[in-house]
Amino acid sequence: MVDFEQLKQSMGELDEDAVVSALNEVMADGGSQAAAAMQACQEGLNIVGDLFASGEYFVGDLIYAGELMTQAVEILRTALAGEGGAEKGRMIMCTVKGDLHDIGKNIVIAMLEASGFEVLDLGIDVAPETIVETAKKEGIHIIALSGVLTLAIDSMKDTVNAFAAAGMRDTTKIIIGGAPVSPEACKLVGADAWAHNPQDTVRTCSDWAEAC
Amino acid sequence: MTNQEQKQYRTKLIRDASMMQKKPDRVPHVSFFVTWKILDAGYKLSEAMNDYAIMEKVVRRHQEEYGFDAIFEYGGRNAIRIPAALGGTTYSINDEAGTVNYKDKAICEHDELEELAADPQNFFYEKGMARKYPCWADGTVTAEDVQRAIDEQSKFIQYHINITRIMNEEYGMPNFTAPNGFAYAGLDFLFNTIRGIKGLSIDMRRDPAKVEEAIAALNELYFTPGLNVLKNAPEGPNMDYCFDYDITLLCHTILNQKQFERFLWPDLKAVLDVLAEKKKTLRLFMEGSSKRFWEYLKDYPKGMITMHPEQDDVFDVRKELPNCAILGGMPVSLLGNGTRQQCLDRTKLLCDELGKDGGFILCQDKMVSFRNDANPENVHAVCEFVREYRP
Repeated sequence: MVDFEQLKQSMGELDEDAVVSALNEVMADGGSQAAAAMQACQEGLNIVGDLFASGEYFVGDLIYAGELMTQAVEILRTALAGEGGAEKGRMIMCTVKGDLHDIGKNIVIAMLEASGFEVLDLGIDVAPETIVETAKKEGIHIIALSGVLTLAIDSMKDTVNAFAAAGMRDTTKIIIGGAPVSPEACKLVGADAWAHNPQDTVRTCSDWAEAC
Repeated sequence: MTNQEQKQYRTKLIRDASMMQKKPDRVPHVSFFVTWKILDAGYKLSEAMNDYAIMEKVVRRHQEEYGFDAIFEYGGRNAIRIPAALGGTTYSINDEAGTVNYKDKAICEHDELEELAADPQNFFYEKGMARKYPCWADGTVTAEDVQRAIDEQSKFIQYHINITRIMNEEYGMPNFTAPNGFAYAGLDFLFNTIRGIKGLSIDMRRDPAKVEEAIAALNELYFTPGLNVLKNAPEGPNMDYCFDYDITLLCHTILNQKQFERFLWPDLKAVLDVLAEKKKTLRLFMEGSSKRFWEYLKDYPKGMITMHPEQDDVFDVRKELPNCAILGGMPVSLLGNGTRQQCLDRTKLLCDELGKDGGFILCQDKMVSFRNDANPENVHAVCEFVREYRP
């Protein structure tokens, strides 16, 4: 019988061997505890976020955590099929037009999914109209825009304007994140919030999801 | 002033500010404009980056238009012609949008770290080249292809010799960094060229000992010889140059404190200690935020390090690292989106607060790359103000 509290701690400590071993044990036992194991991994990811916020972990650790989480989902995949859902709802995330960086985006998506969001990842270099059309078609009201280059600020602004032009700005919450983002940039872009780390993104989006 | 006198005056301005022994005549102003200057001159990125004659016009115009005291880059940061000669696509240029993106591509897999550590040069030849260049992978590479790449390397070097001479002789521009060798830390090599951001992040967690072995092997080839050149350099600063040494650090952006101490600090410390012993100066650009590592720099001699922070507040640098001169302070976000008056107010504040006793060189906080990174009118205003103002 797997100790889920220990699994959570192992995930928080990014102890790959311990996490993989525990998850393999869950599957060897028939997989009936897969949902509980996934829950423990997600809670472990929250520990990672806390350690990042405290300064003990840094970006490389978040990348590794994302990798470990992907591995966990892969191991539990067959047992998790048809289980659960997105308890906090659905949202869109992407890297904006002109910017091809995806590492930061992928880290944030892993953390958002761990916290209970179903994230529609539109990829990199995504045009404003694609984001607006997808939000409209899928009925999504929370959008996270990522970028590393300074030009991303212009693309983020274009995206916010595109939501306004489509008459969807009042019903859509938009958060921007990445290296060039700042309170001033947020004001310029016209976004609802900004973040430099995944924890703040998760917190803001969770607040929005709760208020919906 | 003649161009030669102008060059000497500008070099002295920057030396006085960086070495923190004397207040300079005025606050010096350095250009950290990279691909922006191509767009500002009315060319497409691909035009200038593929044609050194056009790039020369771009660099000349940049100085004629704005009149900086030094220019960090003469058009060689994104050397696209050399990898392109072998069919490589390290950079992705979009002329319509005026953007250039660097592709983070690993040429070594995680389970090949041991093989890399055993013989890095053989690994690069056998596997690295094949992953970087399709013609190497499919065996269609010819001697002519290799010769073309070598020729492109020669043209690139020749361009730099020419443009440096032109800027010295015709524009009175100082040379930025003295030729004192180049010690490329093994971890930065792994980060930038070999394993990439994601790969290295995973390696350091999964197999830290193998990362150390790879660093040691790479250091033997590249870092140690570079450090030895520095060790054998004559003592004291080379006053013909603005700085004796230049380090652009990127890999620290993913490191936690323990990883920094284990994988990077030993090499960085080795260079800093030699610079201190030799009484030489360093421009240290640290991408992203570097505040968590300032503690390691606080005991080095006053005026040895000039910090060029990308994201950190320059006023915090002055408070936390009073031994370091500062290069930077002008946010690209302000140059691009602020008003002329906001830019002037920021410039005056920086000159008054950080430059009143010296130890400050005005510069942009980030490499200015894209069209909207800076409004030319704002750049003109800041350049004119700094030339006239005496804090």
